Amino acid sequence: MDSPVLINPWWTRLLPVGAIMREDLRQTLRHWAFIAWAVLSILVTILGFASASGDAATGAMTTAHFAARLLTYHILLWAGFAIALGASSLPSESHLLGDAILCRGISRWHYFVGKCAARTSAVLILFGLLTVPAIALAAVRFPNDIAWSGVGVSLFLVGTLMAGLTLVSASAGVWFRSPLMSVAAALMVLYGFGIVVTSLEIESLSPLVLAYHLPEILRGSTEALASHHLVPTLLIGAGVSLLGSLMCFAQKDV
Amino acid sequence: MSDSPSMAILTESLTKIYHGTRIALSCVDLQVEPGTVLGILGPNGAGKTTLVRLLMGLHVATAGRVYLFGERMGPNAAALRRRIGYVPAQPNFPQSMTAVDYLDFVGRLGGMPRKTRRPALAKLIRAVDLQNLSGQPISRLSTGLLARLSLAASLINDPEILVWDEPSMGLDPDARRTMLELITNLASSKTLLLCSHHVSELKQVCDRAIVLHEGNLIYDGDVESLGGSANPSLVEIALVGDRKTMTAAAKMIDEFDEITRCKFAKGRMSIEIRPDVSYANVLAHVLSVLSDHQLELAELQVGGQQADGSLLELAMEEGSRGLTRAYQSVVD
Repeated sequence: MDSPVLINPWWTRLLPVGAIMREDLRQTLRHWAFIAWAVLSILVTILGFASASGDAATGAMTTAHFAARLLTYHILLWAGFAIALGASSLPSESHLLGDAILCRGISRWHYFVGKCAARTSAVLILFGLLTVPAIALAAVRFPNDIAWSGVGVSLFLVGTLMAGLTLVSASAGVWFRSPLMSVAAALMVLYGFGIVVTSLEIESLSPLVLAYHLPEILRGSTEALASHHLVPTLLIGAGVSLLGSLMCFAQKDV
Repeated sequence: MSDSPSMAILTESLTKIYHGTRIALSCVDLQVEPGTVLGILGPNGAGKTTLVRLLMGLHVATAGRVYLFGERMGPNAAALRRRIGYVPAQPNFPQSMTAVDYLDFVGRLGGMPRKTRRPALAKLIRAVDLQNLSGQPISRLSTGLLARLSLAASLINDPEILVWDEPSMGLDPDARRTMLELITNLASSKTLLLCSHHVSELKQVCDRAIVLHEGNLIYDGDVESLGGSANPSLVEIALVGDRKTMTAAAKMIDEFDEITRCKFAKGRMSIEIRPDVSYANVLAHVLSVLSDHQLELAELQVGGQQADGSLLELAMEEGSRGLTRAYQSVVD
């Protein structure tokens, strides 16, 4: 019995990654925890906007201050949700991984890349939908002191930070079968890192220092970025942890 | 590449030891030619599922290798896995998907473009008689329907090898008959590996069988040579429900005076009843315990075939010559 020769277009090789990403994104966006996060973030943004409107009337609030405050919420508060979303990506499916997914025509890296891409996309979609309209509205309503290039740099920085945190957390998911354990471990390690670098006054890696510099970055000055290494460090960390986790995942019994 | 690329499946000294302590499979050498229908027999815990999961690249071998069509199988061998259709013993599905969603998802995982995927899934939904329930979430499908969905998923990309682990579990007698007919039809064009507890079922469709016992391959040959007399004191029950509840129920049943032994593994309970008591009464008690624990029956078989004379004899013979075999393998 000769095996049939299948001639499929090259892009069909990417179908498994797309299938995992699409399915995970669909489920994540419908999940109660993600919806709760989105609703909470919207409420906080609206409340923040209302409160800033009062300050703007007295001249105490500018667009750069409002945008910096909004982005600081993402760095310090909503980052926790991004970590939880990343860390739960693999353990949440551990019960059906072998029998329903990995037994099909898919490799471990297809699956891992698909999941990471889906969770990162979910985080960035929400981040974009929350920040871009709010900053644009603030620019219209409040005294406008922002430079759009600065806004772009700030959004890129904070978005990359959120994506990096999601990816590091996703790699933690390989080591745990329970989503709760994985989320707890990722939160402890990443928030622990933030607390340690802040308390040791390692300014170049401190998320608080990055938040502090945001108003000037939003106004178009990027001098502060020269001495700040949090985002590149996080990206390197994410790369290393993803590689290590993928190697471990490729040898794991499922 | 293996030395025998013409073999559909080839394993070399395949060994799996879990957590460095439990030997699930020990030095299994297997050669399966294309077009073979191979039955894999053995009691619970014999290593059947471990063998299947190693063949699928879902588990990583502690030692030894698996080749499919001469190519080495492993966790990242996606292209090879596209040539296999797998039915797990206890299929798990993403509960929020519908049957159509899931088959479409499996097709995409197999790299099937939309123009071939959609017609294939429509044909399969009709073939397994799921068309009226294809839009329902999988969580609402019964065990029998899940078994049919699992069969459909294994066939979507028209694979050359089918590996079906307990495919008849949860099927009603009619569906089981249809499945045996399906196997007979598929056997003309595909290589099939069927794991089962039922010697009688395998005899109808297989042209070769292997028997595993405690991780060792103790028989490899003609399926007709295996006996089929049932042991009436053995009852086998396939259950559906929470694993912890099943274990608790099995523990309770094991304490019955009328029962010699109650073993529970992978959703199957094997109960051996003392020969001097009324089987009907004991069975009524057992079913009452299961009902109290709110467990559903997927299958009940009185007179388990897995413990039939020939398999037991093979197992005992293997036990008595274990040391000789071990010595021979060292000398060889």
